Amino acid sequence: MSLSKTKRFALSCMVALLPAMAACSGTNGDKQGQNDATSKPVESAPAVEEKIDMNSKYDPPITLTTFRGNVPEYFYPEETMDKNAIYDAYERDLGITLKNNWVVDSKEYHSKLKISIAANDLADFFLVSAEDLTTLVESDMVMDLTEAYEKYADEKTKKMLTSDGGKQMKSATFNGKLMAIPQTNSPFNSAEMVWVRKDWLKEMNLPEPKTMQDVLAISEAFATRDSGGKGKVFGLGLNKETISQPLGFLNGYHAYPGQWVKDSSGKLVYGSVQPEVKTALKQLQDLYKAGQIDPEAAVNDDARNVEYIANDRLGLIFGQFWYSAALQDAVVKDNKVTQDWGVYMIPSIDDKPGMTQVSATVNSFYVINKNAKNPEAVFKLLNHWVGVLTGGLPAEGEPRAVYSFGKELKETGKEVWAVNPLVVLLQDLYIQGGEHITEALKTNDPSAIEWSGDLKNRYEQLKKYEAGDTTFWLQSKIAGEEGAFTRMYEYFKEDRYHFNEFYGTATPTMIERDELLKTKEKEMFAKIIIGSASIDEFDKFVEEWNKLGGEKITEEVNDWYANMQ
Amino acid sequence: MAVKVSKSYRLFTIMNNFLLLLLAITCVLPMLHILALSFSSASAVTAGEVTFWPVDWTTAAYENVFGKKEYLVAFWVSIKRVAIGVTINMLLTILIAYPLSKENSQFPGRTIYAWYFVFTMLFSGGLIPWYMIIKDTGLLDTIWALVIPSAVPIFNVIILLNFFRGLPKELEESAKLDGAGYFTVLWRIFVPLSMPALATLLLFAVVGHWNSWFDGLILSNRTEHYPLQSFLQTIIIKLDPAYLTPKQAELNALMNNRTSRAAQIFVAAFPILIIYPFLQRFFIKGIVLGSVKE
Amino acid sequence: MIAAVKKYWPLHLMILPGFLLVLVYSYGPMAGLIIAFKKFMPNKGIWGSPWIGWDNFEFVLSLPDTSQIIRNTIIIALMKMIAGMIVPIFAALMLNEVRKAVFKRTVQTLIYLPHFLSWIILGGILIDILSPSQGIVNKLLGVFGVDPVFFLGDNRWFRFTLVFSDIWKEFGFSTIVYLAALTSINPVLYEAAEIDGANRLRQTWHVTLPGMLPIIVLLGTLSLGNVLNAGFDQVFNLYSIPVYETGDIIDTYVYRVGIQKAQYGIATAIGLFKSVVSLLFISLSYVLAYRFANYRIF
Repeated sequence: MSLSKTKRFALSCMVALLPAMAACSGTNGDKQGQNDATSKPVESAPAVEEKIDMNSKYDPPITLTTFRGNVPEYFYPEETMDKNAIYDAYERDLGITLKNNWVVDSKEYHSKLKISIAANDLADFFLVSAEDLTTLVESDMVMDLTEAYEKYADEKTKKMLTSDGGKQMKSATFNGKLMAIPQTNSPFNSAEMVWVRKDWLKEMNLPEPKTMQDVLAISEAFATRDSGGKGKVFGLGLNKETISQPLGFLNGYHAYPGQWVKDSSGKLVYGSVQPEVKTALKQLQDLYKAGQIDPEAAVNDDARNVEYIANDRLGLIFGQFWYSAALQDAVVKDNKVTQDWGVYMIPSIDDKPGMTQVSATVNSFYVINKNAKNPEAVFKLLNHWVGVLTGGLPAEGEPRAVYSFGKELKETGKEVWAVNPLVVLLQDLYIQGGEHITEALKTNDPSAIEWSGDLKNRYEQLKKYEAGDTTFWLQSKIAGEEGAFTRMYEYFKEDRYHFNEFYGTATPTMIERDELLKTKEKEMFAKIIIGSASIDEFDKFVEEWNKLGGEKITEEVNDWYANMQ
Repeated sequence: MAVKVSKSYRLFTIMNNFLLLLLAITCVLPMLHILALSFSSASAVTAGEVTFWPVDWTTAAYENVFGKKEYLVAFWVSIKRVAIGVTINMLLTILIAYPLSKENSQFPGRTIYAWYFVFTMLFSGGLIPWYMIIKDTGLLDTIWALVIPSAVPIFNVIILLNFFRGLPKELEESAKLDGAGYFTVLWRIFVPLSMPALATLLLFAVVGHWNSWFDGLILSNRTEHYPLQSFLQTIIIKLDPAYLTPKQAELNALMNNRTSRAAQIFVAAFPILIIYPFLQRFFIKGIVLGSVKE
Repeated sequence: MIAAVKKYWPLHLMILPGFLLVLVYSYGPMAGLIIAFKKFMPNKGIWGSPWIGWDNFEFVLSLPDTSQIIRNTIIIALMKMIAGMIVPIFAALMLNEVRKAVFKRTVQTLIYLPHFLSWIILGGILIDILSPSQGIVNKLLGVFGVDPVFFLGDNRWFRFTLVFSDIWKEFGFSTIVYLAALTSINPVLYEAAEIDGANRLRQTWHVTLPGMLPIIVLLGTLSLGNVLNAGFDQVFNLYSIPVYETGDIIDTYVYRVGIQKAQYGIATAIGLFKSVVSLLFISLSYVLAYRFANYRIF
């Protein structure tokens, strides 16, 4: 049941996206023919039967206010978040004047937003985190969008937002009411992988990490290496974050900390307090004792691991698809690639396949202010964006290309699309990348990925890497052959994503106790690994977890689960 | 005086100077480390090869900093902030410290005033009410938001009022006999005699305004209005992992340029390093005045 | 009464601008302290949010480990207060003995340097130089045959590391205040002492220290207000899970379990508690100084 459910989800993802993608490749295959239909998606798309004409332009223009986080790299010179080609285009095409109530650095967005919320000083629509969404809903400050969504979101939009079977939409639903538009995104991007020095494997005659036993053997063997006077070599890399949340390693033992998993009786139980966790932590404790893990790992951040890697003192670490970006400066010296890295899927300790844990819920949402005058205009923005995203790659110089590429109207490698005020993302972009990019490289035909600026950009970088530009080494490990995207696609094909079975909004006890329990959990994990707590204390932790509110939360989660059936 | 230097005193002087030198060196090393990072290549920094001397000398980081429009804009905001903020701070500090330096008998009510001000050092209403008052008084997103709410530096007032008390009472009394009012006494006698204290407080005020970053982040509605330290903060801090999507993590890892960060930190601290020795001259001047006043 | 106002009006007038600004920007927000007793709801605002009595305080007290956290806070804060008094006094006295103006000025500038580096930056540097395996400090200790010490990861050392690094970062600041006070000591006093045959040490004891005493008492008293401030920024950037036992303080703990979730009621309750404790300490020392030394601190 558990497996089949995951499978169903995975399949529904794929199936729902297929028509859209097919339409895309159709567009690309037959560009000239399709251009007329897609070049002005707003004005000329066939009208859906509705009371308000969602395709007309506001005349005179209306104003929508919002909050923005700024990334200077998005812009061409002379452009800002307030004044740029994309905002101008929305006024031109939709009659919507976008006004930013404030623009702060993207890192400060959430702290500034918290204050605006507390001061009850809100824009018409804006992006919020899951926890702020709860605050806003509790305080009755945002609009119930249940009806508006039905009425104003067009078919394409609905299809895209629910292509995962509706789980991401569910995470914006409170008591059956849709309170926000989830910023849909790929749940697969947080997949963990094994990053390992391939040249060392060859040199030492070690197997590729196909099982957890292999991983342990590799760690043991690597730890005996000589760095040539640069210091002790470690077997497995951990840092102050991962030592309390060693997700990749634990997943190899079928332990899923922080997730709700189904037990044999069909009830949901909390992953961090299961016996598999204990086994895996014991193993890590042994590695630590054996000197295969940096004794200072609990204090060091990841920059130290990268430093070890640069000095040939570390060659095995768990990380997400982008980890090669962190490695770039360590691996490429004087424009030469000095180390050979491989990326592998999470292996398993037994004969069941190893799975990587990912969450089906999203972290960010668009809300509409309760007092907004034109909520339907926000849906116009949404429909419009979905049109841009799925409308095929615009030809160079075409007016609508502005939404993807900014005022240059052509691909420049800048992520200008992020300036759009309302952006939802495909739920499986990088899996598509894994499926198509390497193929495109081989055949020199990027048509299968033309529709996505992100993938196309990666493709171009891979081309440059092949031509000898080592600045793009990192991309070769992300999107290149046997790179992280390939692994993400393989996980997908082999159904090895492990989803959190709970994807509702936080339960009352969770809101009150979650952070406290998380702190306890992290503290216990780290202490066991570094040996300052014995492995038996894990049982005590489980007891304490239950007592401090875990039991109550488990009840609430199972009530939710029963309702979902 | 120089004649009667004993042997043990000379030994003491040597030890003393040696210890101070050691102390000074430990204090300068971190800054030196940052300076070395800023002039080194990225791969040397990543490999942890840089301590106090640059490896693979390059000025790329500085070209990057001075080529960055946002950095220069923020620098200018900070200069404006210091100029306006410090002027207001010093003026109010002097104006408040003088009456409060009087005894209760000379100025009934001074103790009530004193507690009125000290109380605000201990109690604050917290972030949200503070933000709302600033917003309601129309200061939000202006340079005034950075200087008006912190216009009265209570700590400095207390230091100065204690300094004023230490000044000879006779000077004020004789001036009074000559018909001088309170304002004249303050400007003509107290202020010139308090140069060392005022130079110290000026330094604190400059440093305070130059270094504060939190209010800039919270009270600006545009990144162009950030003062330098707020801008730096956005470069130095790491994104809260709770909000970090893997896509952002990728961007974050790409922009993890420690050399450029180091250059920006150094350039930001530079103005104070220039100003400080200049202010110190007033300390020396204070000594001169002190001996003249007999 | 009116005559009194008339006579002193210039003094009142001097205070007036500062008085008004403080009234608006310090006392105005203080009304917000009532959030400590409310369940803060943004849409209802500070005044409209419902009262919940002592719930916020009770929540904090109900958290496990509270007593350990309070103990850590007080121990770290007290050690910092004491060392933060003594070190700058010594530094100022030592600098006062330096005759070469250039050297004096240089040292004075340099010891103020670390003050300009935030804890985010210093945190990274300290982790580097204090590392047991490759840090420069442990390499130096190794020269003297001392085994490597894990300053930031060992519960026996962590508090001392905090205190030491904090003093190192901030002592330049108070040193400057003491030096300014020293410059105002009348040189005649030294000359008189010298004629009486006092050597430098005795001069320091009988002239310099008494001259500094008011400012010492003043700074000491003001620092009492920090009895529950163990330094959030520093601890937050230096601590790690293995040293929570000795290094976790009220502010970091509350940050982890409360503030990150925008729980302003709880944050305000803690702030209020800390303020009241500080007020008690400062008032007490004010009264004591006045009773026994007939000296008004402010």
